[in-house]
This record gives sequence, C-alpha cells and structure tokens, in this order.
Amino acid sequence: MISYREPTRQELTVLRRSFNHWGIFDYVLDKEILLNERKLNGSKIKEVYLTTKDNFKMILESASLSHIGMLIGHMKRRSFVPSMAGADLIARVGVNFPFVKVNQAAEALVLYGRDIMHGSILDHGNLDKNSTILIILNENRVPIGLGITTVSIGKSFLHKRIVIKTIVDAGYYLRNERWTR
Amino acid sequence: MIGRFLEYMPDAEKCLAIMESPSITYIRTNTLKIDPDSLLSLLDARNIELGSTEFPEVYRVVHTSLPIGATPEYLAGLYYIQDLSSCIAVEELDISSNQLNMDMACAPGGKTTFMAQKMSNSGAIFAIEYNRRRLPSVIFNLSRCGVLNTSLYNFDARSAGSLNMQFDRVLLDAPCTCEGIISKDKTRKTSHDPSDIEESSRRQLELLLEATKVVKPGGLIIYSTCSFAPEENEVVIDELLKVLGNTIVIEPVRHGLPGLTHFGDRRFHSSLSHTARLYPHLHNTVGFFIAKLRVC
Repeated sequence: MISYREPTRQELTVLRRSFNHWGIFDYVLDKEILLNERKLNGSKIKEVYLTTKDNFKMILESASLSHIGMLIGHMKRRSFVPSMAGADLIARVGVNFPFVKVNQAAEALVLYGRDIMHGSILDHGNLDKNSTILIILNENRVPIGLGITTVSIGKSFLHKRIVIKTIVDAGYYLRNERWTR
Repeated sequence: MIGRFLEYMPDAEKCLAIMESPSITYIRTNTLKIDPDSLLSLLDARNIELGSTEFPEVYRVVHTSLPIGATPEYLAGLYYIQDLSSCIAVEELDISSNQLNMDMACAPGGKTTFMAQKMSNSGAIFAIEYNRRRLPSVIFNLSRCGVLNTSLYNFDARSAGSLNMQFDRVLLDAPCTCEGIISKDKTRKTSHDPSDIEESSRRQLELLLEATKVVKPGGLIIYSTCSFAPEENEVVIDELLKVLGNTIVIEPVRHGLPGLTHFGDRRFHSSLSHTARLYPHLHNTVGFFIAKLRVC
C-alpha cells in the first residue's frame, strides 16, 4: 500500500532546486508531485512520484492503492536522488544534466552493476565537482544507469582507475525477479 | 479439448500443429520514448532483424542472437514484447489523449502501457490487478515504459461499480483458461477441465457487467480473452446482451474472423458476428477473442 501526500513548501523548494539541476524544471511544471514516506532498512525515506494532473484528481485514497504515476526518485535530507525511471526521464527531457557516455564493453558491465573505468568513457558533461551524481548513457545515449564520480574524471593520469561508481543500473530490474520499488 | 476445437475452429488440425511450434515474437515500439524507425536502427546495430506488421509501431522479430527481453533498449523501455493480438485489442479501444480510462485486469501491464502510449501520457488510467503477486511486474513495466498517467490498485474488479466513477474507455482482458497460448505454455493443454471453463465464464460475465457500470454513456468497452472456448467468449457477450438488451451495441472489430453465432445447439444474437476471433494459423497471433461494446 502507498500513502501519498503533497510536498510541504520546504520540500517543494528542495525538489525544485534539484529539478533545475537535472534540467527538468519546466517539464514538471504542469504535473503533480507526490511524496510517500516509508521505511527502508530501518531508516525513513521519502519517495517522490510524478503524475499527470488528471490522474492526481482521480486517485482514490484507499488501502488498495499500490502505485501512482512514476517513482522518479527519493528525497534524502535536503537533496533529491533520481531513481532509474527518474534517470531515464532526465535523459529524455532534461537539459544540461550531468552525464557520462560509455563504450559497449562498459555498457555490459554497468548492466551488471559494475563500476566504470576512466578508459571506458567516451564523453561526459556538466561534471563540475567530485561526488557528482550523473546519468550513465550508452553509445546511443540510451540511459543505462546512475553513477557518482569518485574523482575528477578530467585528469588523464587516471586512465586505469575506477572513476565512477554505479549506484543504480537498468539491469537491476532483471536481476531481481521479485521487483519492488 | 481437441474434440471441442473441431466443432468451431476452421482447419483445426493446422492450428494444433502450429501451436506445437514456438509462436512468433512481436515487439511494440514505446513511442513515449522513441519512434519506430529509430528503434529499428538501434536493434539492427545489435543484429536483431525485425519485420514490419500492419501497425507501424509493432515489429515481428525475424532473427535475434540475443534474448529480446534483456537488451539495454528493452531495459530502457524502448519497446515492449507483446503479441499482435494484444495490440489489436488496444487499437480497437479508439483511445485518444486526455481520456479517463480503466484497465480492469492489468497485469503484467502490456496493454496498460500501450494505452498510456496511445494517450501520449495524458489524462488518466485507473488500473486494477486483483492478484497481489502480479503487482511488481506491473510496477516494473509502468516504470520501464515511462508511464506517468496511471494509478494501480489491488482489488477485485468485480466491485469496480461501487467506485462511483465513470470512464471513457474500459479494457477488460479477462482472466481465462488461456487455451489460446498453448504455443507459449504447453501446460495449458492439460491444466483445466470443463468445470474450470464454466467457473471462468461465470466470473467473466460478472466482470463484464461491472465494466458496464463504470463506462460513460457513449463510451467503449473492449472485452478480450486468450481463449478459444465459446463459453468464455460469445456465450459471455450473449448473456450480457440478454441482461442489458438494447443498452449495448456490438461494434465490428476490424481484424480476425467473425465471432460464432451458434455453438452446439445454442444460437447467439446475430450481432455476435461483429466480434472477432484470431487464430495462430490464420492471423499469426496467439488464439484470441475480442468484442467491442458501445454503451448507449
């Protein structure tokens, strides 16, 4: 069961700032943002859902409600981290979002949750600082995961080092037969 | 089962032979994310050969050396593996943007995601799935396909009428004995007996009656099953007509063979010929039945 609520003003400010960072601020303007608080491994997380205005009007608050629109990410303290579906949305409609584009060999590894070596990166953009969360794209710009930089990847001497840790990957769906949020 | 097939199935022996071999795989482009030509190019680069169908967004898989359900493009929701018959059922709903629509038995979400695609992710879909264990597959597919306009509920759709809601379109792909998918699941040959068909038929009529309560006047209901059994198809529609009379009009389905107008000693309403039967050996689909019902 899912029990949603609309974000508070403070939460909305955090989310809008994040949406601006990911380049989807304008896209979400005519949509409804909803939060669902639940416990995961003992700690409380806030799931962030995006849906159409029409769907929002039609939602029945009922014990049978199992899912709304798209789970685009989670709020952690004062930040927003996209889910795989959120990463996919950003890759399609976002502008100027942080990304790396990887080669085919790395694509296969990322889909098994493996990290990315410097030499596998074909292109990158909008990575201003270390520990930047980014979208991992394959050669055809299809989103395959979400990662975080471990070091500044612009430095050429890092050639044989892991520079991006994979946080979520699209293969996760298949590896977990009993898929949940 | 074979004796029954001979009663109403054209060229039943050929059909049975076809069902012993693997069925054709189709994929539907998820146009919420990519256009059909671009998908064709991406999969061609992976040596996946596709053939066209009568629907521009649906391809037939001619050859693949990769599992079609494990490519990065599949994981990214650029396409959905879906039989042509299921695509036809959604096509017949005449869906457009900004409608309020219902899917009464939605798992695993193939038709729901196609409906969302036809609606360009606008309006709203009220999706119901009674089997709790099947909810994760629906959520997975809705997420993978980038669907925004759907809410998923876990209850028995036989109480949908009590919601006091009205929808433009209602899809009832009813739970059935699945005789039509023997080529995909050989256990379907022996997994049911006549009492199961009877029970299934009773439940299907209950669901369909409920569908008529939630559709707006002038709205459409698509009733479909992946069964050949007349008891789960024409008999259900004929019973519905007996209960509701002139308030339901059966509109012609643009594909398949006409539905049966008699079975054994039973004669059905003549408009049952507007329903459609799809056969593996004639239409390159799984066995399928579709009725398009306009509510006055």
